Formats: sequence, structure tokens, C-alpha cells
Amino acid sequence: MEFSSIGYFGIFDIVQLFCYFIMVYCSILWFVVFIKNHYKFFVDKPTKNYPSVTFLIPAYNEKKFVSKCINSVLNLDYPENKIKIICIDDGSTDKTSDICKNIKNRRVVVINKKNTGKADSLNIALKLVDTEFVVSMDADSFPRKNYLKKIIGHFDDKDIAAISPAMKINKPQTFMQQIQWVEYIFSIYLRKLFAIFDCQYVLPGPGSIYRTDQLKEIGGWDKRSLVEDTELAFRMYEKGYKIENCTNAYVDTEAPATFKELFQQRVRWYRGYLQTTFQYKHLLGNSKYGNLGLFILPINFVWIFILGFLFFMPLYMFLTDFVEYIHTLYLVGFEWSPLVFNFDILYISSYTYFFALFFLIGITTILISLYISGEKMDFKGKKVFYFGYLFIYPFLYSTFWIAAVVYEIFKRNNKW
Amino acid sequence: MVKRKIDTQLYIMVLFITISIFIAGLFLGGVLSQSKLNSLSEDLESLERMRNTQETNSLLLDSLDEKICLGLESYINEMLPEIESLAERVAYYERSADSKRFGIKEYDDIKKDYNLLLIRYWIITNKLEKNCGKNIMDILYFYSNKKCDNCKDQGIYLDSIKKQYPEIMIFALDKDLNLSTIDILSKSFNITEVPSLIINGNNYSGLKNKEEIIELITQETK
Repeated sequence: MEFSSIGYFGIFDIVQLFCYFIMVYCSILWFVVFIKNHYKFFVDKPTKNYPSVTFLIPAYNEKKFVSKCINSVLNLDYPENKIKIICIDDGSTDKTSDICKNIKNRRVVVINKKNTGKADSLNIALKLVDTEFVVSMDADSFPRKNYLKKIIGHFDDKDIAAISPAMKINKPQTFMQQIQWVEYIFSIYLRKLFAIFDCQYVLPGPGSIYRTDQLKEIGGWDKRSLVEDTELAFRMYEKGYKIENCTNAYVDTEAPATFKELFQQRVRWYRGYLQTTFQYKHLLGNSKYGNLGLFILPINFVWIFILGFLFFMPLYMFLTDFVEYIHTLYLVGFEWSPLVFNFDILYISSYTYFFALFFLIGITTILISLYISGEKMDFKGKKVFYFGYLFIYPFLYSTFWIAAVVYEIFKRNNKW
Repeated sequence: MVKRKIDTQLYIMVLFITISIFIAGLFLGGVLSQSKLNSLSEDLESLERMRNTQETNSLLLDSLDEKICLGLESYINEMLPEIESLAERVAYYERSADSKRFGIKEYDDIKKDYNLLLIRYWIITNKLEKNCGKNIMDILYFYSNKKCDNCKDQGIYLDSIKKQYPEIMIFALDKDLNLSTIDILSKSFNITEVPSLIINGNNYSGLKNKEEIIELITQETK
């Protein structure tokens, strides 16, 4: 399908070029940030001492994963007496609480409570924490052996209040999980870029680590938020805290397996993001909050527009072609004509340059992401992954965002 | 409280890189658009050369008192595939956004030359019919890209007829072109509206569907 077959020069071309300009600008920006700071992706500050760390594991109906999660924390390559675990059973209706109780280890404390949500579970447990650092670890996530050793050294910088890890999808089985596998690999790269650029506004549930006193000072997690991990990060920016990322502290996490599950998760995330930006709208365009306030938050709104445009424009073109085809069928009936393709310069779209550019940017970004996340360049074995990511994911991603915006406007079931 | 910095220099630097990349893109887009026009122009030029040869041949045969019909027939047959391929390309170009984007003036000139070529060709088919007793079925189709609601449908019907009866010659002439030759034609056939079809010298105005056109053709050839 040809972009140029729209047939109207004017608003369409101008909007299209505007979108491409922002896309190219952001891509170049991230490339430059990467080139200037590439060494930061591979070297982690070694830790001299091993401070004590408490892992908070909130679990709601996680019988499949919770024991694996607790065991992977217990098996961390770190002095044994420096790790504590608080497992919070958030009123599970399955065997989660039995499984937690059966773990006989004096370093594991189990709290049973009524179901009040993840943020509340974390806050209740946070009150009991007496170690210098605290980790939130979703029960369906498993830190790798060297996770803590890699991440803890970054706290030598006294300004840093929290650090996010590098997440990977654990054993991707379904097509949706395979697409997310590439997405998460890309996120490892992007999250570090955001941290370097001082604008990382999400502290993911699986394995983000905090200075306990600072976290307590600002009041822990917000139980009213759809996305307590994003809200917390925004609050930290508001209070003038610094958030770091560690690309070498891996946490394997479970991912939604079906489209429906993924849809629900993403609509919640993106709606949550929208609500959080409106809640913290005083950060927008405010130079006090650095690159986040002045560039990232405003440009994210433009990105939502771009996603909508890139979704609706091909759809509109497809529909007009389809209507025209039906109209022809109606007028003259079906006519079989042999498919002959002769190359003609007239078929080349004027936007070919930009399509080629975006393809190049996409491939380069995937290659850099794979390199950073220590993955093999296994394109043959993972061809379905990459195919899905390059050709299906953009549509999924736009769909989720559009749905999130629509739901947010019409205030549909504002729940988890 | 951390004092946050803003990478102003970086923003400006990236802006310059992006603008350079964009200028390169717009430049290449312009070059591509120009190449498309050039390629249509080249087709037209090669057709003009062909026409020149064939016309000279006919004149020569005439002056030598040889059989002019052979010359006219070769004129028609030699140029037919080239004319049809250019007609398709022009139709594709006009449907695409390119025709509305760059070099509109230049395309106007190309189109005028192309329409003149079609009219010359049509005159030769008439000659061949009158003087040599050849039976050629041809339709002159007057259309407009601006104010014509039915031209799109008329085009679809004509495309379908061309597909089914490749021997019918259809000449699509743009009434908006401001070409005196087309004005003479419209006056002589009393064309007041578009779409209009001229079949065997008679003017049929308004949208005609496939069956109607086929009926008209069979009537006219009787």
C-alpha cells in the first residue's frame, strides 16, 4: 500500500512530516545519548561492603510462582545474613498462603492480610523494614544470582534514591510473550537511556530497589494509583530524588500470555500513566524538573498523537481502497485480471526515504538492545519474535494507547 | 534535593542533525518526483519520435502515389501498444498524490502534449476508416478531474470495457487543460458537460454504464 495514494496534498502531508520529524528527532537524541555514555551500560560500580536488604514480595493468587520467587531471592549471591524476606499474602484465595508458610527459613517472614491491593501490602510490610535498602519483588519475578551484587554498588552515589533493574521475559511461550520478549529487551536499553538522561519515570514492581529511609519519608506507595510504580517515581522527581538504572541486574518475570491479558495490563499501565501525568501536571514544562519536565513529559503527549496518527492513517487508506474496490465490484462485477508486476518509478512513494530511515533506526536499536542485554543475535531461532515485534507490535502498541485514552476519557471501570 | 540539569546543547545539536536529515529527505523526495515526471516525459518523447517517423512515412507514400492505407495502418499498429502503456501510466500518476504535490505546472505541459498526441492519433484512425474502409471502434471520452462527480464511475465502466474488448480504442481527453484543440473538438461535438462520450461522431452526454455503451457501439457499427 502506498502512502502517497491518499491523494490530498496538504494537511495529511504536513501532519505526516511533523510526526516523522519528532520520530527522527527522538531517535537521534537517544543515539547521541548512547554514544556519549555507552560505557555506563556495561560497567557497574563494585560494592565495598554488603549492606542489608529486605525483599518485599506481595502475592495475590500466585501459587504457581511464589515459591520459585522466594527461593531465587534466598539463592542470591550475597552474604546470607544480609538478606531478609517479607512475603505478604494479600488475601489470596488459592494456596499461596500455605506455600509461603511451608517455606521454613528464619529469614522469611509471612504476613497474612485481607485483600487490599499491592500498594497497601507493600506499605504494611515497609513499616517492618529495618534494613538500609528495600526491594519490591513481584511474586511472579525471579532475580538472577548476581542481581543484588550488580545493583547495590550504584548506591555509592548518595543522591540516588532508587534503582530499577533489567527485566527479561521468563521462558516466552505464546506469540504475545515472544513479542514482549523483544519489547523488554528494547526496554532494557531505553530504561538506561532514560536514567542517564535523568527522566526515568517508572520503577517497575519486579526488582526496583530503594533507600528505606527515603522511601518511608515520602510515604511509600500510593494505594489509590492504578500504577503505583509510576506514581512513586513521579513523586520522587517532585521531591528532587534521583533514580538510577542497572542494565546488568537481571530479573526474569512472567508476562501476560494472551492478547486479552496483555490488553488489560497495558490499558491499566497507560491509563495509569495518563492519570499520573495529570496528577503531576506542575512538572510539565517546568525546568526545575530537568529533562523530564521540560522535554520528556511534553513530548510523550506528542507521541500519543503520533501513535494514533500512525494507526488511523493506514486504516483510513485501507478502508478507502476497500470501499473503492467494493464500488467497482458493484458497478462492473468481479473481473479477473492477471497479476503482472512491472517495476515502474511511479510506484515509489515520496516517503521511501523516511521508511528506509525508520527501518534502519529500528534494526540498529534492536541490535544495540540485544548487545546490551547480553543476548545472542539469534535471528533464525527467534524469527517469529522479531517478525511479531516489527510488524504486529506497532499495531498492538497503538491499539493499547488508543484504548487507554478512550477509556480514560469515558472513565471506564477505573480498577485494577 | 538534586539540582537537575537541562541538556540544552544536546537538544540544539540534535535539532541540527534532524533538520539536516530532513532536508536530505525532502531533497531526495523532490528528486524522485522530478524523475517520475521525467520518465513520463521520456515516454512521450519516444512516442513523438515514433509519430514523426510514421507521419513522414505516410506523407512519403502519399507523394510517391503508393498505397497510403498501408502507411496509415502501420502508423496505428506500431504506436498502439506504446500509447496504451503511457495511458495507463498517466492514469496511475493522476491517481497518486504526486500529481498534486510537486511540479504541477510541468505536469500540465506533459499532459497537454500527451492529449495532443492522442488527438492526432485519433485523426489517423478516422482517416483509416474513411479512406481505407477499415473498421475501427473508437471512443472519445471527455472528462474533468475537478468538477465531475460521475467521471470516476465512467472511468471504471470504460476500464472494464477495455478489459473485455481490447480492440476498442478509448481516448481520454481532459477538458480542464485549456487546450484550443480540445476546445475545437468540444465545440464541434457540442459538448457542454462531463462525462461525455463521442462514439462514431455522435455525442452522448452524461454517465453511461457498461451495457449502455456496448449497446451504443453495436448500434453505431450497424
